[in-house]
Amino acid sequence: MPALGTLYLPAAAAYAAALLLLALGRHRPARWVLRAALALHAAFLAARALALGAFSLNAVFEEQVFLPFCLAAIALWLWGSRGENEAAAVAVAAAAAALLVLPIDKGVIPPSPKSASALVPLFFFCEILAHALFIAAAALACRRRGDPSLAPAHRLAVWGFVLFSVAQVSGAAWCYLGWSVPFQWSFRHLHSAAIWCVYAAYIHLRFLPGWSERRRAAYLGAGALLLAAYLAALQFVEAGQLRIGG
Amino acid sequence: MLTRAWKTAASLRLTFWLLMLAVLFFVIGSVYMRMEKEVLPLLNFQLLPAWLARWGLPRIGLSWWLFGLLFTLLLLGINTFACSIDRLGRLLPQRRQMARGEFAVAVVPTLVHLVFLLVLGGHLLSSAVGSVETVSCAPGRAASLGGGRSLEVLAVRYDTHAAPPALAGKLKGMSAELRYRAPGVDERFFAAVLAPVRRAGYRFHLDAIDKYARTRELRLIVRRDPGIAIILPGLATIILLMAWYYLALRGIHGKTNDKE
Repeated sequence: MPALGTLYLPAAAAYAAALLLLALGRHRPARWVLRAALALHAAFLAARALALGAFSLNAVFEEQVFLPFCLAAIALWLWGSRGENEAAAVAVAAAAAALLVLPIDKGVIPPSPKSASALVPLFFFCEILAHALFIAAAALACRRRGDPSLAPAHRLAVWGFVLFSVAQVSGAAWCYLGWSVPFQWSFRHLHSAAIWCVYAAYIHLRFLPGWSERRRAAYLGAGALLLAAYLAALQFVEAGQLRIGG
Repeated sequence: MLTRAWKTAASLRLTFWLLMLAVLFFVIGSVYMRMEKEVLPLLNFQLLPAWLARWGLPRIGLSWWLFGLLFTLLLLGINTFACSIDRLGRLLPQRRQMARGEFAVAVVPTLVHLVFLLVLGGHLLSSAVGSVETVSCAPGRAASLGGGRSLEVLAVRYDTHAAPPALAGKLKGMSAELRYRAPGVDERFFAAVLAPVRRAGYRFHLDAIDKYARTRELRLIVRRDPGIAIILPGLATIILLMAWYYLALRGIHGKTNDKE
């Protein structure tokens, strides 16, 4: 089987084409190309799941490969259920994320005794999908065309917050079984707590006078920037890890 | 005066700024955790009050953000309590005027906040009356714990993958056979990574020191953690309440749209 990094290239090329078409304002063909990118990405994720010779969900739910996939899926869902402009904003984010992760090693982290729990894929699935919803909410909130209502972005942020909370709870249970505490004093846990507080505060903004839709949109953008900074930092923290099949 | 203090304590604006302050301390703390690898990681193997007294106060340059964070969380706890009671006080008199099921939905956010307080209380309980001891885990090693208790490692077992070829020989699981003695207790049992064992009020966790099992080094963590019985079920309750609340809201909005 070719290296996983090579298998990712067709999907990345399709994302790049979708981005180009979106930049040219050709939304209809961009939608079809994004569909193709998602299908190629799904095939790549399936190859990852089987890369070590035995099916592993943990190999699928890794931020660098699953986040762009989630964003592309959200964009296509928006294309089906809402307007073209909303979908295009998220599609740009999906394609940009898919291209930004291109230099990162696509190999699979081999399973370890601490990863042998059903809580692990549940945690990563919920956490990464929540991240995608936060980024999608920011993309919707901050798009410039027309006079966008914050309602769709708000809905994505709320469901992101619910999923992120599920991730934190499953993570707490995993951490308790593996490390003896439900919360660890570490870079990762503290940053997750920060992200949770950012969106917990966002949920309360609707009830505060003076927080117009415009200001709340800016807040969602700032939240996504903090998240992006964290995800970038995490790449450095976890760099140099043993990976197989990259 | 008292009414004004209560209004301030129950203010949602205060909630927002306290959460922002918590974000700031969490972010600063995460940077410190990344930079300092000797003293701060000990927080995971000592109770918080003990760590603060032993390391936090003498090395305030390293721990100032933690004091700030704990004080912010204390204020957030007071604010959450006041907010919840305030909202409940306004909701209860309206109960009879509400449509069937509407009150049950309206009261959920308050319940979520109260359970959140319980969870914070669970952490406080574990910090106040819990205990934690760590013992290196190697076959034949015996360690005396406080209060006339002792722990002996009888055997350590490493399970490796036989197949597929990419994983052959890599660690799959680790377990240890232990003998625990305390006044009136003498027990032998197995503890494994991800499968802690509870005996005589303590939990015995086998911990692989390297998360990715690149080494075979193990340690045993012996904890008395009374708060965990509140923390994990409390967190699960919050999730269920939150999911039910947003689904119920969708249902209510759906019905309203149908009527329109």
